[in-house]
Amino acid sequence: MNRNDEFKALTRALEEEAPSLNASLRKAERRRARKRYMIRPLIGLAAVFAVFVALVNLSTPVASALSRIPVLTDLVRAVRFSPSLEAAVQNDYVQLDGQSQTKNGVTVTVEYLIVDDQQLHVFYRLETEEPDRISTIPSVILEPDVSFYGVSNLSQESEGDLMHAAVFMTQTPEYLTFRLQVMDCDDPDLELVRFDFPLHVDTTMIAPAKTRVLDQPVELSGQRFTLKQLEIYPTHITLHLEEDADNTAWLDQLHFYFETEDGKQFSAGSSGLISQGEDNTDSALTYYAESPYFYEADSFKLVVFGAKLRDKSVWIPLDLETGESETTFPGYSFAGRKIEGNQSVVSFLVETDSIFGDHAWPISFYDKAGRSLNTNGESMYHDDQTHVETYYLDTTDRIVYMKPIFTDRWQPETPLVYTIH
Amino acid sequence: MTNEEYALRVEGLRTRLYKTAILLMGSHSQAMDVLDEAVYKGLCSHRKLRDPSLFDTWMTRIVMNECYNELRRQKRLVPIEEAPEASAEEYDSLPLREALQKLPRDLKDVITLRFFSELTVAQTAEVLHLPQGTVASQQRRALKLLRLELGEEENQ
Repeated sequence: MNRNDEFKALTRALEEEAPSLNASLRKAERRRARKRYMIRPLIGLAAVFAVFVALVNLSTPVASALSRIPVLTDLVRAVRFSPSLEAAVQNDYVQLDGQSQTKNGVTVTVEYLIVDDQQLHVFYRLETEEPDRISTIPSVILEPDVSFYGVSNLSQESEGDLMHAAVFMTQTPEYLTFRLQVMDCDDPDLELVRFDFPLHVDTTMIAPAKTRVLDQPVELSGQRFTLKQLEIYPTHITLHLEEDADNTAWLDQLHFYFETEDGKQFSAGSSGLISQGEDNTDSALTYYAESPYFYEADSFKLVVFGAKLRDKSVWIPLDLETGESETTFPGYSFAGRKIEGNQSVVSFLVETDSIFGDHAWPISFYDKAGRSLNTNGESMYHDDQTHVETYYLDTTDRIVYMKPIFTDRWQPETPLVYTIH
Repeated sequence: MTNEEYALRVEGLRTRLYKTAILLMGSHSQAMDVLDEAVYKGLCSHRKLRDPSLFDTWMTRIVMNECYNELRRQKRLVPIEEAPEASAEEYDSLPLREALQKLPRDLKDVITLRFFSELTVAQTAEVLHLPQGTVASQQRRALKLLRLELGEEENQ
């Protein structure tokens, strides 16, 4: 095929792939109509960031023990965004479910599961005569402790498509409940109907993780860390780091990717989860990525091309009466403080572009003893260019303290490369 | 333009907008995220568009801005921008889609808009805020690197 034929084939493929934007329009209309929505979590979720990774290799015919399942077009389409899941489906690493329930004119059918030791993907179909009037909230309940797990709703919400929810767990159990709440899209707090599906995961079909011990010291902007090990699962890969206790800065985010000998890369996070913090540190020391579990190669490289760090000593005082601060954050301006009982309700006017941009805006506030003051927060539409972020702080003090997300954006002259066998 | 007219125009542009988004973002899911955001921003501000005949380029510009906002947010823009330019032979050995991804950003923008988003040279220049002559020369350079021989008929 010459280049021009290749161009025509690519154009044709993209045209066939192009979805209707009606779902995007419906979402946009709902979002604008409500004019009030959470832009981002405002408290305590600094442990979760966005990161990108790449490919790995490995040569393990795990699928041999798994049942042969006819690959359905809709499942292939649903996992197309993820190299890991795409490879899992191609290797028949899929469990069938098939449970179906109908309530109040809504039918939900759980069709497939893709499971490894730490991640569960549920693929389900929802049928209703009024798809435009509902939204869905998936969750997972573990028994017998009835624990709720946050679930990423990865569906594009296109009518009739296979929908997709994913959850990270410490250890995937054999029995759990998948819950789907169907909500009124005009009143997000109004639950119309709830479905509970008892799931039985065939744990004998879960492919074991592969571990690669790294123990490689790495210096990021003068701060010392150790790349400890990789755990490679069918649906994701986990990179663990350790930090030196003498470091003067926390690691906010590591920028890295994996690359095979032939230069092939996978670039994605894993089900929306990119990295995770630990209880006893402000650093993010665990990173997630797409997995090359089903790909074959003799070795691969871990390439570290940057990091963001935060100086441990930086605390920025903010005067809640005047809004004065030593440091300004582009796009953010103090709007005022109102005292309600024992709380301060503090508002900032935020340029919408800044919300989606790369910013060091801290989200969290502290008193002079270092105690976190945040109790709640929300971001509200103001006009086409601005939002109002409001924080409910557990204090009536005049001065509070902020910790920026990062103080140092580090990039080496040449990327750091580690070969992994 | 009413909201209904906006919805019709956006849906009519869906193929062009999708091609723009997926070639700049690289994956379907990221392209859809960007399109969701662009459709929302377009909905919020389409009434400010004084000349409806500029809708196609205006909407394409919003999609491009959202792509680059997202890429910046993900910190992927810096490594892409600073990647050394590949030689013609290296481009030749890659499938077209991968070769496109390897192009320097300015050349990729032009090729994406001209031959996948189906804009004219004048419209491309308008979206990118470049002189038409610059667009034409970048187009020639990119086509040469990709070893593509495309004329006006390919972007109709």
